[in-house]
Amino acid sequence: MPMAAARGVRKEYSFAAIALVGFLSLTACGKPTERPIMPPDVTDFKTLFSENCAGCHGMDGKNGPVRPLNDPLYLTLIPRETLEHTIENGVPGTAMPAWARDQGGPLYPKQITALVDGIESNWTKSVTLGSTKLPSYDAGGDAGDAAHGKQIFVRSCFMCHGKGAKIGLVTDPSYLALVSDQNLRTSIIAGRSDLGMPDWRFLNLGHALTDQEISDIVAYLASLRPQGAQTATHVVESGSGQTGARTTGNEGSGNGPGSPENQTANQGSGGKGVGNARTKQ
Amino acid sequence: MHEPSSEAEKVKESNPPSRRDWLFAAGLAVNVAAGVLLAIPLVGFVFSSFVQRKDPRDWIPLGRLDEFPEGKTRIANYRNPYTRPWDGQTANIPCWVRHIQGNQFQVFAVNCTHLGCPVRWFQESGLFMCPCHGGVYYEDGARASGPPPRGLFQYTYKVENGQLWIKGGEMPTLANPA
Amino acid sequence: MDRARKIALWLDDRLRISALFASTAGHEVPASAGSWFYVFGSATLLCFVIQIITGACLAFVYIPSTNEAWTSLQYLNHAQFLGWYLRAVHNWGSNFMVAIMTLHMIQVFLFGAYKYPREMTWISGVCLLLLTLGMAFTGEVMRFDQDAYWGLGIGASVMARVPLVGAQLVHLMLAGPIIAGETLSRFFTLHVFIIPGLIIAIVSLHLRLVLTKGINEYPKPGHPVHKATYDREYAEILKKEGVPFVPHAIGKDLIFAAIVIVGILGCALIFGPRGPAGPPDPTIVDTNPRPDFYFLSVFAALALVPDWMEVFVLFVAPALLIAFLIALPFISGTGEKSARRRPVAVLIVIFIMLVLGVLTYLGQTSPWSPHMSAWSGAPIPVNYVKGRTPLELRGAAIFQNKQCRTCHSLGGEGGQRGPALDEIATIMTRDEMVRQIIQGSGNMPAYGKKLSPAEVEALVAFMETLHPLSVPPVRNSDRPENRLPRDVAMVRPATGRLNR
Repeated sequence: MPMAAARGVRKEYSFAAIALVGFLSLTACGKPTERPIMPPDVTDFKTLFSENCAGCHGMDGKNGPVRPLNDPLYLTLIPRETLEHTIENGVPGTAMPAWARDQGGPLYPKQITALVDGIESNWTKSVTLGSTKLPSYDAGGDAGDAAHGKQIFVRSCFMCHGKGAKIGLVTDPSYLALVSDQNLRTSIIAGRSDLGMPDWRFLNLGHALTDQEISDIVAYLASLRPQGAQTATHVVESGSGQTGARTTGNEGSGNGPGSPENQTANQGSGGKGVGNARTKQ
Repeated sequence: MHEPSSEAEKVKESNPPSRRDWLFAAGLAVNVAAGVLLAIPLVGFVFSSFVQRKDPRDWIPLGRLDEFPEGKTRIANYRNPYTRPWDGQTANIPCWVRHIQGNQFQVFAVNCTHLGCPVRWFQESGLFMCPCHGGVYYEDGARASGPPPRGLFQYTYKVENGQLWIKGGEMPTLANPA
Repeated sequence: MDRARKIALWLDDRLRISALFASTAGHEVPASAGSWFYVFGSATLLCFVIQIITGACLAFVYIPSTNEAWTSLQYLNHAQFLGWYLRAVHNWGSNFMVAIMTLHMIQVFLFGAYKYPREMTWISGVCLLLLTLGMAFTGEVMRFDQDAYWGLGIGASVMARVPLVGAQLVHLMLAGPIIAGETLSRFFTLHVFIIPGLIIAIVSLHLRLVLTKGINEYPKPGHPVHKATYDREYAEILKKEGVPFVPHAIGKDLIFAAIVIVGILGCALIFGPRGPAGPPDPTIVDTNPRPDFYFLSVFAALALVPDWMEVFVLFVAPALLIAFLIALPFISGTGEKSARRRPVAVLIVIFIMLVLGVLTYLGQTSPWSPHMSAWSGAPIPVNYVKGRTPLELRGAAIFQNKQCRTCHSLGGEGGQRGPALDEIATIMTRDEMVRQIIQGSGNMPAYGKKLSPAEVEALVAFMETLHPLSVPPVRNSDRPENRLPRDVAMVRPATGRLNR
């Protein structure tokens, strides 16, 4: 091998070595950068949401099996206090558990605040409603007319939610036993933009559903709930700006939503229907 | 035999061997005795914890009854009754309190009965699960699945003055279930 | 010049350095022992020296008190100049030490170096192996974080299984009724005084035996060891091709030593120190304790063996293993040394390494462990959500809510304790699903008490949608409406469920 070439090779090697050593000592990538954050101290919205909420509400707050939170219309609809209260206490009787520590959940108050802040600041956008008035979030203790609700249901919802229809039954008693009236109401108003269900403005040909009509549909659906089914009651302390109880189905069917003072004791999954699940054998 | 050549060997021969032997034996014996005297406190010091002199457990208040809603299982922490000043947070011991109804409780140690890892309570499915080897227990502490040889360890409890008390103070293991 | 020489000679006369050198570093070894295979012993010792030096440095700052240990580790990592680097070197030094010691042991075993007359060299080496593992365990406790705390809990629970004196042993190990102040002091004493002291003592014996019994010559096939003739043969080898260890056989050791040092420093620089993980606060039950990699295999074995074998795995098997290692030079103290003529020895090494490797891998991935946060953190795959009925969507929510995901994966996310459920509908009929959920079986708890009929209905409705588009779900054949040709059944819409 000619001398010059050998020297060239050696030079390259020494360059590489110097570069490598320099790179390593500059970066010292092994140096621990930050102290570990313990679970109680996590207040980063992304982390909190992806560890606690994404399982059901979807990775970006949508495309999960339950209500999408990444939905400007929904966030406009729901009062902040209700959102916070729901996260803290869950919705007894439904798949939404309580997250606050004093309710047996994993989250500390500052973490719940961080979640609510994050949901609102990340996903709230102004919604142009034009002349249509946004229905109120809750029925305000207004019992709907189930018979009238049935008429509207057949006219407006049956196409997608009737027997054999594309999307599938919402009148299925098992389904109704697992959702709160408020959930039904919210779904009718806000739709499910991620799964293609339109909101209340487009459910009814001709005009947007009125507050009363929505309550009527909910009353109709609630009347189909099986007797003695798990009732889903959902309470907010009064003084949250809206009326007291965001409420929903009561014992069994037919009744309207409970009174605003309806304060229901904890009845979470702990004391749930014992051993009566049918086996169909 | 050879002639005594050095001074040392001369000395050896001039002295009666019995006296040297006696000195050596006596020296050994004295040192064995002294060694035993030294060893007794050393062994006693190091192995004192092998023998447990008194019951380390004591009644500990876990909190007011209304801190434990009926039908729910909640975590409760207590300060170990016997602590040293430098124990720090290691003397804060958690346990799972299940309020069945009225004055009926179950207080479980967090330690899995398999190898002592901390079991976690899952309210929705009503199960305790262990992160180490996947032991699972039902809400009443009975073994549900996985390697645990028995149900969760339970503390003795009493209700007094509106408070829930447990008898604790010792890490529960198979050899010493709470 | 002359004066310097005089001083050197005087020093040598008084200190006897050259005589010491001739009988130690300069002792004669067979030239064949200057092999790349013979570098691991000296490298293990080198690692030990590095551990002593870095350990002493760390002890300048570390506080062996349960109240302060974790804080002082944080201080080392973040505040003390180069503290993190010293911790990293100490950690990687221990990894290298265990790894190289293992290589050394394999080499000695395969080269038959434990045979006559080096039985005691081997036995002292076995003691060093055990002491090094003791250093690894006590060292893990020094990194006093959550893993260390619960590692002590595991240790205590293992002790408790010793028959008769279990409870007393737990007390002895913890130095009290719970893991607290004195426990850490106890392990600190073991890690810093007692075990290193024993290692230094036994390493001295080990090295002395290397000098008195000689280093094993590179074995040749067809030259078996006979007790009657070996000593004479070895003396002849030394006479014929003996070279002083320093400087003629140490070259490769030196090169390898440099590689090891650079390796440790490089790993320390690039990967940094290990932990500490969260603070050793037992009230944080939201934790996932794992041992360091030396003990992952034991950790895995304990998850996998059935109940009745646990005592065997914990106590009998290690005792048998140690007894076997100690008895080895007496079982096969003579005969062939070369690995080429000892297929069983080679197979034993391969088998043990495979078992340890597989167990360590399993310990690392621990498929038996529930994924505690999958239920709330791993989304249902979007294609299991799109186009599903309201009831099925509720079922998916129940699936998450009841923490099924902790043990069952969907879309590759979730626990692996139970089977993945992505195609469950092609395996189980609706009735089988209901029965399995309500009653449990095998490793699955029974959920009957925790699910309302509606919840079961919804859950099963969701699970029935879990099948590939091209494969229809299985159906009960005992129902007349199901006795349709498969292709006819397939085109029925998902909502018009046949067996409702």
